[in-house]
Amino acid sequence: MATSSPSRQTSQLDELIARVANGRDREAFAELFRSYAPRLKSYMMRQGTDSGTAEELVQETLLAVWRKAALYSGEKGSPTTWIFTIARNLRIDRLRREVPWQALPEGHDETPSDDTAPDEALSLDERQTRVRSAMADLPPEQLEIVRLAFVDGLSQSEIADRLRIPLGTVKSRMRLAYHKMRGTVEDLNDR
Amino acid sequence: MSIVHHPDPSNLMCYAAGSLPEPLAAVVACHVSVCPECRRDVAMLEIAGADLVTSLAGVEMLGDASRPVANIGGSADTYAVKQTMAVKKKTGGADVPAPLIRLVGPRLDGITWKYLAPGVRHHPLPLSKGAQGDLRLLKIAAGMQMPEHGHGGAEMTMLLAGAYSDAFGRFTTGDVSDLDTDSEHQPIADPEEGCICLFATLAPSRYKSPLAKLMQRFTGI
Repeated sequence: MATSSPSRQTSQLDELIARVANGRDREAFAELFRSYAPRLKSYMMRQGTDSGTAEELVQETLLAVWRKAALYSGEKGSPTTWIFTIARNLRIDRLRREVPWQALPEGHDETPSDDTAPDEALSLDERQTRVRSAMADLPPEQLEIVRLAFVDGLSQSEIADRLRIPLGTVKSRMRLAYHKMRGTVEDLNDR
Repeated sequence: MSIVHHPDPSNLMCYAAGSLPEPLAAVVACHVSVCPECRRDVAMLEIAGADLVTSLAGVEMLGDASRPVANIGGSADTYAVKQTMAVKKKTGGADVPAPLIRLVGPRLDGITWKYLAPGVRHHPLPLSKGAQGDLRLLKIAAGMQMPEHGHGGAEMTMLLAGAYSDAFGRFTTGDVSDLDTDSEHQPIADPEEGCICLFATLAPSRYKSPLAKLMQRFTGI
């Protein structure tokens, strides 16, 4: 797997997805698979599935990437974020819900067009960099709670139970983390 | 639509994580479908989530599923594209939020209502088996005042038509009232138009069914 800078890695992954979308390129797909499958399996297992179910969900996720690659536009989000939302939705479908209330990021599941304004695409890249650095600056007790929600799939009351802290504390730490991220991208939002 | 009241950031975060309990996730999904600001926030939170997942140490794929190209079919891809675009086209002119259309159709005036209490009609919505809480549409008559009440758990309401007011302000189409366990309020439906809202609760139903608890709210008993 590439150990290069995130943006370089992103453009490589973008290119692989483009090859899957335009050329139905199986070699590109195999590369995407090798890049994502082990970490997605890890994610599914953290979310509470056994190893076999985790592998099935990883297969479903990457199969969806194969089928929907033509809908993906790098200007609307990084490939990793897109693949995360697909994995998250499939996990919800399988483990908890019959009614899928989660949507894919705007645009990806609807129109294959790339109607994003160029400066918006620029600010998206910048947005990712800033969200990353905001996350890196979070106090450990906030990061822990964000991680328990995203990686372990715990609800607020499950987090409160796990850490033996009041529900109100869970909510306020989430709000603090949100405002930290939001603060770093605020000026990009009006463009 | 000018939206003033949004879901609490902690609930947007859990929505992006996929860990928000189902009835609340339904309300957030409907709000996000009409609120560009929250859509952008959810996208921001998804970046954070994807980063956390990507930084996990991988676990080796062992079974048959570890072969990447074995299961790819030839024609499923174009089918998926066509289908989602058709859905998009059909929902033009809808006043029901997109995530609910599948359940109740595109038009609020096409929904069938059942009597719940004087001045209050409802349309229950299905949740997954074992899901915690309750989700339903409420149609509240003009000027109808609910008894003041606190909550046994989280409660989230999204206005789909009309308006209501309580101590937190005036809520119109697209607004979400996001109340946690400790809040109390006494909503009054708009004296001219009343309101239609999507109403989700996580109140534990140990003593009463969700419906009985809800009727208690309206009848004050």
